[in-house]
Amino acid sequence: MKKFELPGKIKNILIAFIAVGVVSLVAGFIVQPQRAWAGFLAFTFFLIILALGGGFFTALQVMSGSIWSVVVRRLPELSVNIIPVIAILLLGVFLGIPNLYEWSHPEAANDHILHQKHWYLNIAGFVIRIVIFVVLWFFMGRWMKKISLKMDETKDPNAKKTLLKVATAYMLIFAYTFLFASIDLVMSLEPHWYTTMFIIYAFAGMVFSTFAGIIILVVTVQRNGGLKEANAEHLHDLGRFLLAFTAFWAYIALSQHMLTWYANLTEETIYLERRLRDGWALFTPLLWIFHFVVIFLILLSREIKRKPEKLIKVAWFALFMGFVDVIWMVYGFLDSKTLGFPFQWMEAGLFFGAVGVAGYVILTSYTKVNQVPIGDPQLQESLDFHQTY
Amino acid sequence: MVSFKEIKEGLFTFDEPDKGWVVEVKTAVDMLKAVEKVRKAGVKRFDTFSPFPVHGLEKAMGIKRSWLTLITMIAAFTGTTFALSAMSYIDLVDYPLNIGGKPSFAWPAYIPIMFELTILFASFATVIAVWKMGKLGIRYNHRRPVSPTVTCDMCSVWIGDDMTKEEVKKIVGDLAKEIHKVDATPTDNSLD
Repeated sequence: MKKFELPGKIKNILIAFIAVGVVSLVAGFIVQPQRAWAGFLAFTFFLIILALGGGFFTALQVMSGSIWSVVVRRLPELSVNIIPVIAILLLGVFLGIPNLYEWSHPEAANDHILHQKHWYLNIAGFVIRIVIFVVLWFFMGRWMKKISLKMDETKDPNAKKTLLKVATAYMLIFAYTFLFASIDLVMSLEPHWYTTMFIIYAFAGMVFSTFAGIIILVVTVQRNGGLKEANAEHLHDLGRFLLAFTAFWAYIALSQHMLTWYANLTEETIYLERRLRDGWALFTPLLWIFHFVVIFLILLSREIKRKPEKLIKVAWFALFMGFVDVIWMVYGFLDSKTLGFPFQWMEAGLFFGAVGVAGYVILTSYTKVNQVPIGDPQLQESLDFHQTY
Repeated sequence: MVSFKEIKEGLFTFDEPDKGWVVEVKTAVDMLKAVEKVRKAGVKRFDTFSPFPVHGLEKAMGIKRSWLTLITMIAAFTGTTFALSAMSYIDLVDYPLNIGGKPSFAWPAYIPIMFELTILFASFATVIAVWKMGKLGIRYNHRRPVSPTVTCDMCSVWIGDDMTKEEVKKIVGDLAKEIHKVDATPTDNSLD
């Protein structure tokens, strides 16, 4: 089977994106170092989202035994290759701990709440946990990818059973590691804030961005002459997932914010109160409207979900809103007086950087493997997949 | 845009097989081919019978997409608007109450109500529309089945247009295993 050839034009665009990201990050460190650290963390967390999202998608589809997704499975499977880049970026985050995390300051010992939380929120524990998580993500994801790639050669139907077992283990490990990673990296930026919904909120945003990313990858590869096997039927289901998860995200966001609003407790409302004043006053309502209302109403249409050229536009917008949501989660600890509008040139540059890194890594590794999992016993059924009215 | 007539046709027309020809075919694939030929020959009234759902049949028969989703969407938005306006009326005009010092127009509290009425309206409208469009709810009718085999194990195509056996044969060609003349006009119209 012919392998995918990445056109030089796309490669150059992706490298240019990475360059834009690096330049805006460096410029950010010169102009506003504090903000640049937060931007760097958001950039890293967004890449973690995309890398784990691919593994989550693969594990979910294998575990549920779904047939339609077999054709498009190869691209999300390769997202594990981003994790070495993330490991390097996380070293940078470790350097930035004093600039980012309030609990790492020496004054935290005088703060009763932070003192009580010190057994969990301390630098050594933070670093050890993150290192363990990254190692687990890398080896579990690579294990899953290896089985699937080996199936291409051996064409052994029993390998799917092994893949199912590994996928189940991946899902369990993913659930716990993503939970603690999102608490450590993002939620602990505001250690005085209490909530029970944050992890699910981060998860909802993660799955949403992942589906947007998968749609973009599939349509981009198809436009450049690869993955001819995937058609409108498969895109329709990916679009449906995007629609479902924008609704899920809104549901979780509401579950968090409406209960906060009702109960009106200081240690809970601080999160939303910070995000509704100064530069945030316009930003937060715009996030809710564009992340949910607009994308939801557009994706209700069946025609849009089935037309690649329309769906990819929605998916780009959705991926962008996924990044804006990460900015919303991360930037809250910055002083809102000096912050201004939270999404400016640096954040835009970082979005391009993240897209460039993820796209470059996945698409260059896609040229080395078979475009579809040709050894999968369910491939033929997936090719014949057909949506009824 | 689509015309109102088209919407009405898409919603409420339903060909009840009565008189005409039943073409029995061997397999479901033959049925797909036969019904495509029948449609392309310009036959107006036709239908198919199969003992199991057949993929691609709606394309072969040229059935347009159902308008059911449009009904669901309109009902859903009606529900949302109704909930928002009703709650605003109650809280701002009819019976303003001070609850926990929150403003009278407490929109975050309306969102669950809007969400639930959206689903309630949409689901009721969908169920009612399905009953109406599918002519369900008639407890029983006095029609005879078009042919005994079509309710059993046979894939077949029904042609309701006024034509001779030779014409039917010409359209379906050698795909047909057998061609029967059928007459299943209702014996009693009282319940229709």
